Amino acid sequence: MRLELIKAHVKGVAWGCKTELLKDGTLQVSKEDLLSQIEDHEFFKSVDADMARPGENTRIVPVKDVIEPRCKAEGEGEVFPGLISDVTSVGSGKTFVLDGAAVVTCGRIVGFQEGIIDMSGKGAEYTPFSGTMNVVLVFEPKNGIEAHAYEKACRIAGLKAAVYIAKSVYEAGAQADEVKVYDMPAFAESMNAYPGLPKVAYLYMLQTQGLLHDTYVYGIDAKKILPTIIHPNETMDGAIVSGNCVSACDKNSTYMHQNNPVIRSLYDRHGKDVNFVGVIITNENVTLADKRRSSSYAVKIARMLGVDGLIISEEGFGNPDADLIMNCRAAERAGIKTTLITDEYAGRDGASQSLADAASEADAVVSAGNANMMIDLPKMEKIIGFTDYVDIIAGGFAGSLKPDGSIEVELQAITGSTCELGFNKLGAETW
Amino acid sequence: MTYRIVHYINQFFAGIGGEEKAGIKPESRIGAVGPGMAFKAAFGGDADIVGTVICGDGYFAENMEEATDAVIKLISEFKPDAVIAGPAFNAGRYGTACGAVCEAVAKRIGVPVVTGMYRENPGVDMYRKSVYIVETSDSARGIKDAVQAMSRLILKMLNLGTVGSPAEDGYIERGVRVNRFYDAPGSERAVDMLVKKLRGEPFRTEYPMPNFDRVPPAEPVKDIKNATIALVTSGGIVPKGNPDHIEASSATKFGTYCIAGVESADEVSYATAHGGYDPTYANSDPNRVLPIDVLREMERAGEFKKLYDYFSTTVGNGTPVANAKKFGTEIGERLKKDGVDAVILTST
Amino acid sequence: MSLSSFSYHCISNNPHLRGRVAHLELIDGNALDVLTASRDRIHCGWRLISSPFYGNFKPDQQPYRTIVLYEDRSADMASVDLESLKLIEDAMMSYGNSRALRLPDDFPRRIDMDFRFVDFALMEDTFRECGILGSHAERVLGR
Repeated sequence: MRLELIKAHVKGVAWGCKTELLKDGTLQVSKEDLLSQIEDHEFFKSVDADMARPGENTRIVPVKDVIEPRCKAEGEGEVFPGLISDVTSVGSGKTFVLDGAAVVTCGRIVGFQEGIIDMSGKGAEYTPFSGTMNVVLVFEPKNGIEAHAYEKACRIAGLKAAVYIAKSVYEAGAQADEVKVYDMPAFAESMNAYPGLPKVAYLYMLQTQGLLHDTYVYGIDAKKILPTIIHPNETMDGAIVSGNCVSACDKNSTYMHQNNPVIRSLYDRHGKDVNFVGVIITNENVTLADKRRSSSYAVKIARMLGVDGLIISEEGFGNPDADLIMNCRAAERAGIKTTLITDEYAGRDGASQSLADAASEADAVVSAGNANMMIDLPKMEKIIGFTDYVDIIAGGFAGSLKPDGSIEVELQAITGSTCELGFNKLGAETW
Repeated sequence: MTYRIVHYINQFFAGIGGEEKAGIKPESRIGAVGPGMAFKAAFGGDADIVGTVICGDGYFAENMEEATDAVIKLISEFKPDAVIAGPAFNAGRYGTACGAVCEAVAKRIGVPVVTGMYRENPGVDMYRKSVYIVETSDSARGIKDAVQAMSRLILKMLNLGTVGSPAEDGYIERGVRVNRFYDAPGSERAVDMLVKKLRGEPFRTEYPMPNFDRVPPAEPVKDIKNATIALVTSGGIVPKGNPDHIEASSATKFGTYCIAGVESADEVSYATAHGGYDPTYANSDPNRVLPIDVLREMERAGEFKKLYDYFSTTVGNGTPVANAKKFGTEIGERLKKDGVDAVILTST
Repeated sequence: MSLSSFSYHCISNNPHLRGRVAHLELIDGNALDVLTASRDRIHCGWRLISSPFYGNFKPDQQPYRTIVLYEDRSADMASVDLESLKLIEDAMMSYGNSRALRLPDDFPRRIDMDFRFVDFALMEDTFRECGILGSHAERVLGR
């Protein structure tokens, strides 16, 4: 299956009368059109939109999700199948991408939600979204709305906004600045290609525990699936969407699923050091029987594929650590070499045990950093979102408010800071 | 400004005596004593040893709380800017004392502290997280390097207020995780690592898993009524007088004693040598730690066939894992040879 | 009176479960108290059905823990399920080593209600699968 990502580079963002990409690379968005696309009187008391650019003295909080504007240019289906588009399988043809732009949603489903994106200052070093041109949507729920329904409404609205922006820009005639081709043939061909190279697959663990801890695959709650194979290109068309909000640091935003760095890195090395043959998705449920079933099943698929090596990424802490270790152990015992990507909760002093589980088989681990590390965030001039976050965070949830208005907070509260897909350069070492 | 530093050492390095003087109580001297002179020289004019506090290793091991309190009091009297202890090289009780003193100084006085030990000193595992322990050789032959490294580190802490990585500053990894930025994103590092692993090339994990020494449980005894059962303890119960001088901490040996005909571990013939717990109840009735009396009752009642004629004992207080493994293997081999079916292990 | 030889139990300190979950033992205490009570049952032969680490909240972040266990009354001798024991002990260590444990009164009421609800939502499927879900719960925003 072959997919071309047609990327238009976004260098700025501004409101204007028509949604299009200007010649200088500024993404111009019609606020009126955007809001009319996503307003929903059944769920939202109000929807507002704002913008945040790299380097600005702006803080966005609390962040629910981040989505990259994309839409199909050619080929079957539309992005975010099963949620805002038809359920047809995607991942082939051409997809238009506004590279450098992001839609950020602030919909507070529960009072304790975190998720900070600082566009400048110390905090900006730790979130990838301080580097994107952000169109921020702020939702307020109607009174009497049920939590699950509201979460879904916010999620859908974010996806609609992303597709609307991409589609409008594409239809207005945007030029491609860059084209990236991702091609992975059928197994009959891929299994026989590169006989000298080890066959490698990616075991992609998805957070699936319940409200604010869910992931959707073609619109289906991944809690309910058996592990299965998915073509890596499908993720680029939004087949996997985030319903996860906890914790801000290691929850995989939809943006991360669309831009999965493991998939990108494996494609980069394909045909050179490895024969990248496929992706297996699996879940991280609460009941022990589900965990054992999924682990056994996922590793069985890897064995059926006959892979030599497996990269395994997890999402979350504690409960998922058990799945990560279970998967690692099962794969290693089946003779498949593994490398894991995880983050750590080693305490503020870095002295606690970083993972909730361990195994001697897990001898190749990449760390996305210690999420308990404390960081000082300066007072910001502009806040987009909900300003009472300071009370939540200052209430000792993850930090404290200093007299000069700066906040001392754990990395845990910063969106995407310890992304366990290995998106960032952050890591840790033992001192 | 010249920093005021207090030095903690044991009776041996103070020139007071060897093992026979290990029981001396804490005392202090003005200025540098013994290795303190080498530190003084290494500091140049930047710091001075204003006082030395000395304590016998034996006294410290057996009276940790009072000894620590007394040592802290003596140290405070010098109003130090920093404290250094040792180096203790591979001396277990000395290393434990240095670690304990440094930890207490950090907590109660709040000034920078540094000590030095050989990697396998039991004090390392106990105090590495709370104290910077400079890595030294295993004997006093390495004193020159140890003094250099310790002086460098304590001055850095005083001048800059920060400490770098273990490699930079010569201390033993404390086991704390510190964040850093790499050149490449995690996904690339992961693929690199997997490629190396698949090729059989050496690679370095970014997160070494903690070492869980998991022991699989032994099979249950099939015929308990006909079984010979042995008693082994790390609770330190020894024949009164401790004839083999098993140390109160960092034990370097175990003892094996005959209990044929002995009905009870009574307080006349037995006592505890363990320095890691309040000995009052163990001394008033050693059966509490070594339950010979109950086992004799059960033996008479036919619950099992025979209580093995010997018990083995050591003091499980700051025992290096390597030593414990050695003792266990030796004891186990003898028990097996003599047809013992099962062992009851007591600890505290 | 139940004639079956096995049953599912829930141990929790989340008052939100009262009236919504059957076979519930409500503990007046913190998360560690819930884990300890569960461990005690595991020592008597009960087995863990759900992971004690569920949810992505850290021990010092939210006050509630809910554990679902399975009791097999037909077993002759209580034998301890080692996997359950290891999991509960790991959880107790993690919670025991935590900086501070939250109590329900630590938070403003609105936030405390949110935590109670999310705790319930995360365990809801497990309750349902074990047949102890009494009634669905809803969290209505704006209250």
